[in-house]
Amino acid sequence: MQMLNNENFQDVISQEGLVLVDFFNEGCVPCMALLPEVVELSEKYTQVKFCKFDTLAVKKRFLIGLRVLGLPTIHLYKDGEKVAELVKDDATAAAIEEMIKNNL
Amino acid sequence: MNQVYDVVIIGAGPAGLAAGLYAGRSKLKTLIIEKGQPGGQIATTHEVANYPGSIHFDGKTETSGPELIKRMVEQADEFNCERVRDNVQDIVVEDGLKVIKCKNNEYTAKTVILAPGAQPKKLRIPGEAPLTGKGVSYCATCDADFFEDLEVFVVGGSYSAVEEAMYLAKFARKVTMVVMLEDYDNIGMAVDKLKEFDNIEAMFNTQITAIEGDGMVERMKLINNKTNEEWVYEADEDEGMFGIFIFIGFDPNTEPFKNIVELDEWGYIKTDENMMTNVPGVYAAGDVRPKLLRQVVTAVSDGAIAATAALKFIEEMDH
Repeated sequence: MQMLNNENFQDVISQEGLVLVDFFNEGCVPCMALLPEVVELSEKYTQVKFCKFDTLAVKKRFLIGLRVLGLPTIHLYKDGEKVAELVKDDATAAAIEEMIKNNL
Repeated sequence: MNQVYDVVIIGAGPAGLAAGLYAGRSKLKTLIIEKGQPGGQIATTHEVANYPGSIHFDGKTETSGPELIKRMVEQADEFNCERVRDNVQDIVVEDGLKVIKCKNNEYTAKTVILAPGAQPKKLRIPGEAPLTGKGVSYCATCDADFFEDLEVFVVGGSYSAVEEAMYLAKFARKVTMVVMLEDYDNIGMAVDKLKEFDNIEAMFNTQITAIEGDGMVERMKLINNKTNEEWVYEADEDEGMFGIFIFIGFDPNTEPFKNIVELDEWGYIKTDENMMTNVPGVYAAGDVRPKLLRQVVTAVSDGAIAATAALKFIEEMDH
């Protein structure tokens, strides 16, 4: 999974097709539990570009701009537009898979 | 007819995993059903300092919740306890056997141990659900970072709410406790500790009645429950938002079981001292039971007792 930051974020999500972004940081326990399952999904859905974003590596302003204010948060972009989002308890592997299927 | 398990355990937190370990070790055919990640609430806890044996000998490193759970899962697996991910919808008792109806599958068992745990209690006010993860949070360790140098409100007046406020005060510019009662709720020595923080304030007799904002928390409505005075609090103009952390206790996850077993007036599952509910062969363990202390140490104890009682029940059933 490609690591995103405030510099490459716009370029990567703007690409054609589906881009999934897993916002996490190592201090977020549920995020770290979810991450391996997202990696598994990335092996199953190779047509989707899977990325992760370490929220501690950027200024909070950038995240507030994206309305990312709690973890875990998963964004799904299609051709550069955000088409779906899962936050907190809703961000389960099953729900992420369903979100991908709904947007393939 | 599909295979019959000796024990089906619902929930893979400490109570369920301990029950699984004991049942598996007793050579019972055992299955744990978990709808999400194993671990329950302890999986979001950084440090577990009060579980005997959890602190390493150097006296500094503490076992994290996920580490502890990982070892509990390995131990249950080691004793041939099966695990499946599914979401329980209903349980039906047929000829003494229990049929556990889940979203994906159906399982049949001689005994059932309910260990579904509890989840943070919600305020149940407008705006709370849509703005969860957008400024509304129930997990300080998950979200405190986002509020570095911003303003945060902590709802609750219990010892754990005060502890969370002190944790958040290390990140936030200012923390305001919103306490429904006229004082904190028996917080003991934490009062003195609170005084060491010059960025924590408190509003008593106060409740939030609505949370509003466009994709993030921008304003909220409050009421003083003594004077009935109502007002609106807006985020600092430059900051544009603030955080609301809610720590007002826990709700037991008893929704799928409320028509099957007897609950107490707060929704917890009643059991006898051997963890059996009012339904023979159906047990409850962990945070879902009425009890004084809801921690890993009491959850695993419940699980072990429930599994042992289930073994006895099966032996009598088979004779």
